[in-house]
Amino acid sequence: MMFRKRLNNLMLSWKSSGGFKQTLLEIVSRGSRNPMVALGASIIITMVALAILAPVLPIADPTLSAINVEERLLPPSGRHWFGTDNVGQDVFSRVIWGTRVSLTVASLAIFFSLIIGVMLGLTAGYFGGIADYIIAGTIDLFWTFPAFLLALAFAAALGSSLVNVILAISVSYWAGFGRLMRGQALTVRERQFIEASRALGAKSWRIMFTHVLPNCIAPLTVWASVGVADAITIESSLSFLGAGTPPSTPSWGNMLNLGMQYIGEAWWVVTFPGVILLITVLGFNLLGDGLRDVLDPRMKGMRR
Amino acid sequence: MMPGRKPIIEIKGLRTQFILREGTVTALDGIDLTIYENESLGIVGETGCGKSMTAFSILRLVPSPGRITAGSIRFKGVELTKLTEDEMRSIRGRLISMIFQDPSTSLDPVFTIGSQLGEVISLHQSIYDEQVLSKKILEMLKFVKIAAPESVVKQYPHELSGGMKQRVMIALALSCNPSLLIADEPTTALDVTIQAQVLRLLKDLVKRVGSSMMLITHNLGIVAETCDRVCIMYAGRIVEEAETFELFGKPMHPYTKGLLTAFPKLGEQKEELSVIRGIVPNLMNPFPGCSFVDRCDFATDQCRRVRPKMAEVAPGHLVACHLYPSGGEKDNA
Repeated sequence: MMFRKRLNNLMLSWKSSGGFKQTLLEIVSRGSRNPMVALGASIIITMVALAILAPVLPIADPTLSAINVEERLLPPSGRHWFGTDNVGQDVFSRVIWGTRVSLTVASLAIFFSLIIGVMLGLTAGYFGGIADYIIAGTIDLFWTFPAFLLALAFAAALGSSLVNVILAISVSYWAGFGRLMRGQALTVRERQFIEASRALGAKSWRIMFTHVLPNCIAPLTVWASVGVADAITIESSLSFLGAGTPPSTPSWGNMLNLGMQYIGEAWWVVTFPGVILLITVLGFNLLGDGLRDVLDPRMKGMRR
Repeated sequence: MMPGRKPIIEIKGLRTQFILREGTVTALDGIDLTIYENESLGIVGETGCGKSMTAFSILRLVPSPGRITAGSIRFKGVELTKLTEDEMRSIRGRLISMIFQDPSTSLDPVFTIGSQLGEVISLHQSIYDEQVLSKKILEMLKFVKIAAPESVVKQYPHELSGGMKQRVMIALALSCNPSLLIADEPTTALDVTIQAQVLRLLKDLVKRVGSSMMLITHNLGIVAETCDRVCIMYAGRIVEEAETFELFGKPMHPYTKGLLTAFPKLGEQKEELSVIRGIVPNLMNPFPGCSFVDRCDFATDQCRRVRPKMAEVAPGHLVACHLYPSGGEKDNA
């Protein structure tokens, strides 16, 4: 009951005078004028659409299609756009279905990292003191390991499954968000409008969520966008090394691993998943870079 | 002192200290201060003398590691130093409000003016209906005489000028009809023509809302124009207190005299303005005597040894100086 009232109140302060909807529309319109955001977003939208629509499209489900030894390692043609692999499966359909796996793993992993990182970082940065000491110490501990090695260690320890890969990436990646959020909270906390809202009677939780966090949205969005690209790479690398998704799952990393063995005789098996991976990662990076400009309210109305 | 007027806030023996590893800094050293209903009190002093700290102490927002270590602050008979944090929070913004020095940093840059005003109004007045709220927001913007309030509601702070931002801050601070408004150098960051406008508006609105104002400034001109009564602060203490007219006419404390002669007057031919020599003493080292002693031309042995007490030298005119033991008689012992 109390919580609902608070939530209502919070939403109201976001929405009042129609600012919220207007802001969202403005960001979209400004984003479409920024070439980096436009390109990045179109790549991502295409990939997401393919991932969602894969079962509906006339593309065979590679997990169901039979192994066809007669058609193994056929070069790209009208029938098999990306050729076939060592067991005669269509590379194109495996790449498209692989999108589902890669994007799901990456976005879920980043979502969990973001939640954990923001909660802990915000608490540490805003309150300081002993909470900061403990949380910042933990963040630093995780930060000392390269994200990939940590994920590899976790994935290897947990065994290869989709859930474990998500878990492994989240565990190794949240510290980045935590560190970013803590740093942002530390600077925003000291700004005068925080003091002003305290002088006007705002509570700590209100200041944290309605003033500190919204002021950090821009860097967090940028970091998350780039993070998805990173997570896709980590997932593929894990699968490539055999510590990621099970080999039967059509993920890009698995395909790269497989195709590498035939790189001399059949270049298409390794090249196409690689190129699609590259384009997707590029898309998220472009979006991240472009959003940094678009999300800054001071850029409003400026033409680029 | 002033019969028939109800005090809004009474501060007695307030001491605020910062306890650091290197020692204790006494930012406020026994402040006695009363603000009456419908009165505007000016607090004048140089940087670091404790003007802002007095304001933060009243709101109980002294930044860590600072603490109120002694004294009492009674607001309409309620002892503020003994309230819980929750009770204190319901007073801030609703009964006691504050305006800050730099309007360009006092507003959250990522929200529109409308949503920031809406937040304060809905928080303190429990208005959750969007239509009622947006009507209130427009009313407040009109109240502070902002041109085209309908468009300002949808604008972000960076799209407004400094003067407009300060008007929005005034609207925020006055939105709940507070009994006391603390204005901490509200016009320092504005240019001179806007200063006059904002001050006039502030003075006018405070009167209309029926609240008292505590105006913190280092500009004596602003005080002369705006305030009924003035306190002169020096090194964490109040050294002189009087009605504005009385203070400008008959300054008593050597520091006040110094301040007034350092201020240029219109139509006066002067090659150089006089200065008060020396610097503010270090507040870390406690000192038994008068804190102005090193800069004072009339300092005696007694000034070094004994701290002067506030004494009433004329009705409503108090000064803390050994030159005026009491009753205004000069005593050069």
